[in-house]
Amino acid sequence: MSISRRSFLKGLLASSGAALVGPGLLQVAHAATTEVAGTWKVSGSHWGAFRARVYAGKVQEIKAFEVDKYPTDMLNGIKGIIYSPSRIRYPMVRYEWYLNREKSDTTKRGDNRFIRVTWDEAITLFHSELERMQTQYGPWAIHAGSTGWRSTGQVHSCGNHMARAIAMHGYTVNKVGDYSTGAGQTIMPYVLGTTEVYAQGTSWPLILKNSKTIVLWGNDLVKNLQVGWNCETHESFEYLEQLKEKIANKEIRVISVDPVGTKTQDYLKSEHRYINPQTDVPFMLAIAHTLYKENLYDKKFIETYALGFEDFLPYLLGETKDKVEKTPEWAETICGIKADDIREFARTIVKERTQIMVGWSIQRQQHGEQPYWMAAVLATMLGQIGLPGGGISYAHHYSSVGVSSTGAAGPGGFPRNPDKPQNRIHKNKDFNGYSSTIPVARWVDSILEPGKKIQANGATITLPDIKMMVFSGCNPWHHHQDRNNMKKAFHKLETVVSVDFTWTATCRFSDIVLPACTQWERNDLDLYGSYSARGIIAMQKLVDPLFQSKTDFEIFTLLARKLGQEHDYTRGKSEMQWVEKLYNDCVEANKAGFKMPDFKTFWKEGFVDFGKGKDWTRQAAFREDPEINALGTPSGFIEIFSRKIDRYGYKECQGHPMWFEKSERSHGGPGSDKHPIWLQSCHPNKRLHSQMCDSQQFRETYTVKGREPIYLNPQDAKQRGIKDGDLVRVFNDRGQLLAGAVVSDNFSEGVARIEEGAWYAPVDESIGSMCTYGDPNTLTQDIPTSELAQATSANTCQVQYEKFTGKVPAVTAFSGPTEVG
Amino acid sequence: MDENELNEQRASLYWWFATLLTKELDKEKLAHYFSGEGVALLTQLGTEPKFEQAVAQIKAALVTIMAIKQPSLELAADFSQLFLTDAKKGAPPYASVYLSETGQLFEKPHHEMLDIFKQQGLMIDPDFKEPADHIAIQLDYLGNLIMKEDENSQQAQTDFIEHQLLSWLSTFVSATQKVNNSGFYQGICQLLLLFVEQDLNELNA
Repeated sequence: MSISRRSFLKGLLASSGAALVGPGLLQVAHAATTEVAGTWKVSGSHWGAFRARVYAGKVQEIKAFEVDKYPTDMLNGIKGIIYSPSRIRYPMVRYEWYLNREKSDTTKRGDNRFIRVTWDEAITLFHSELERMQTQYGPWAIHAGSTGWRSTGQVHSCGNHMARAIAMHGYTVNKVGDYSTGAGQTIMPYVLGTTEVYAQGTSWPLILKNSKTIVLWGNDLVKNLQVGWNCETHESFEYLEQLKEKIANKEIRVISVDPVGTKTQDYLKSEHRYINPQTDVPFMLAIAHTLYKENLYDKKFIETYALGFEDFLPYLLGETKDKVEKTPEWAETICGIKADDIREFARTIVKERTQIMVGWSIQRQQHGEQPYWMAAVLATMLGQIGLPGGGISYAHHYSSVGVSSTGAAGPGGFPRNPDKPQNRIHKNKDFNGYSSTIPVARWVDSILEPGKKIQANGATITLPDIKMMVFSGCNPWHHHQDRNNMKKAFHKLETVVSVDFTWTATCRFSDIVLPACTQWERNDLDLYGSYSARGIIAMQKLVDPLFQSKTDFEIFTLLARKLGQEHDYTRGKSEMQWVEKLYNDCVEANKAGFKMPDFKTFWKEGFVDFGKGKDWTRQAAFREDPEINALGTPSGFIEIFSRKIDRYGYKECQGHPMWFEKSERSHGGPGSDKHPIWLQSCHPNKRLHSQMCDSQQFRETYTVKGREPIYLNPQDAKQRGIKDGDLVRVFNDRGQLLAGAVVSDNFSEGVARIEEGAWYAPVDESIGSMCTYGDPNTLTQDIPTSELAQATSANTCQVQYEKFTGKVPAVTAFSGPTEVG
Repeated sequence: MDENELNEQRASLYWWFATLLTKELDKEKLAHYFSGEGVALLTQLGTEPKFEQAVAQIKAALVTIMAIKQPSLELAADFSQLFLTDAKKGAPPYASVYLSETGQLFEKPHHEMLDIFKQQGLMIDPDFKEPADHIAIQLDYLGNLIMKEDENSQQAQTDFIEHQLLSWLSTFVSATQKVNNSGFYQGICQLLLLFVEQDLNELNA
């Protein structure tokens, strides 16, 4: 059969129709495919490693990798990501922007028609905008430094590709810190000498052997250990299972200090010490007060290992600053815990070996530096830092922290910086008086108030006048706070470029949208078991990039080609050659300790396992000899008082931990008369932040009437006539959203939860329009934790809610570019 | 008109529809519909009473578009709004969207088309990176089927139209009607449906 069309054009189309008919879409197949039942391949993800059966060019089936004994059910969401209706299929440009460029009507962002363009045109537009910014303004006008959780894989790590290619063109604004741990990672180097939030913790076997009490402070291990920064293989869960047994046998007490009942608590069948939201510091201060007054604290430990207790004590006793003695009776009125229970709690944790495990939620609130610092002071007073099963950690809920490390080196990444910075096209480093690096959460302020000076971690920052934003594998329209404020900021941007595989709200608010493929449509490799460095996994391409999507490597190679620097970008290596290079470098780095097979064997087998590491105790070396193994703090000791911070002269982060009232707080706190409910927006249980929200069938396993769940207290719900399964309108002065009610005893009166990462889906582009799916950041406030970290304060958020009675709007998210209004 | 000529015409029309639904018309191709072969073709199609209304809609849309500064871009935005978004807002041109339980892509209809191609020793142009149940691929294939000199061809055409095409075409065409823009592609899709129905009647007659 011939498959040429033109020769048949006669009759109706015969005389002139040739011009109207394009080339055919079918060809004669070259070779018969031999696929019968499909091929099994290995890959990985933040959710876990797996084997996938691929047949007829489609991923048919996914099963957990056998090393992972505790796989999460989120593996069921993977296929839905690949074949999601939200996939970006072609390079797309906002139509209005395409016609008018920087003069486009930016108030229409988020509510616009798009047109499809070729890759060549898309890259040309991207490049010409970078060029226009550098020549018309300068490096201060482009912010290309915002990064997120990306997809896993070391060759295609999207932030590295964006950074390298754009740096080959010119300088841009960059960021410091992140949305997860901004306050923690800034304060802790002053106190304990490292970020703590990204540090290996005491090994679980030592904790299980030695701890008598474990305090989980705002910490939900079972929920958060489901995902990992690298390929997660869930080794921590083996220990959680043992912990559960020890609790049942009354060998270990686990107490969750939390305003909500957690998944961990439900799983472990452990104790719950309810506390009013955002009042951890008064509780901690009162514990310290008890330890002091009852002479229970470890004076010798403080003398040997810490500095500044004497500077802190007068505050505790009410002799300085606010002149309020931090008694349990004082704390009771704020934190809602009876004074006698506070004393009892203090006596319990000091009596025997106690491991304190702090989560990240309590530093994602206004003055988030304080509970972190104060928790370290408490641990210092207990005197168990550096003992197995004692002391404090800030990361046991994260990426297999607490699983002993093998010590093996993981594969490096695709280089983030240009190899030849001297060849940068635009060498202009003049930021026009603006700062070139800003705290991560302050970019919206920069757009809205350029030139404003703010204090941050000892420096003065002048917010740059950002005109263009570039995002790659990053969704700030999920992780930043206060959507309506963001809408105002985006009205001021001239150009927004997004590289992603799925139509996130960030893409919908962009001008140029480039389709990346998913991580399962490319070859790569990754470490599995992040902090345990358990092994290396091959990420074998399951299917070819769908539609016109490309790998991050290809996309930014195209940009580099525009700069005439393609070879410098790729170093003349293909994707697979990079996979092999990173593997071989890793073999070299592990030469002394681990025997690894050659690349071919590794790729065929799909993984290399390094086995189990040796148990380890955090800060043990410091405890053994604080002079030789000094901490990374200015003094080398634990700093209960920080001279350095004190000298900054900040109002909201002073020389020692303190209690500061919040701008909004429940249970009688500021703003609670009008908006009585504290809204918690913790990390989700069924997603990785906003990743996997687009996986339709999996999403439908937890949504309520197609909306994100809001978890409500039974009395609060009853009072408002709300039943489980009802649609709820949640609102405050900043915004409003629709969510689906899940009524649960795990949530106390005055407390509600919507998990972050729920996709933003406004009714229309107008300021204040309702989010139809339930993104909690429609309601949160965009204020810094303090002058120190300038981090996000997402958990300082008061709302009100009511049963929704109006005409129910359709969910506007989870689809391509569209006119929503 | 002998049978060969008739088949050539039928095939050509299917390919014409396939071309329009494959990608956006560029400036030059669109010009054919303002003054050129396209005008003649539409006029001729409009003489068939059943097609009259659909052709009128297409012609009216062309008038609307011509009045806009950059007509081909406007039409590209229409195309995108209809075919490059998802089922909630537009009319994705894939059978899987309308026939599978989940509404996702690459479902059974895609595999059925792949099976057909496998039997016939065909493959999709690697540069056209679309699922096999894309409307344009189906129409392209149907044109080829018509031109196949095979005694069973007629039955194969009927089967294909009934099972692969009409199983979803009217749902797809209705989906296009909910989108409010110039109406060019809505008219084309309506015309396609009417043409396929008429063609099937002729085949069965």
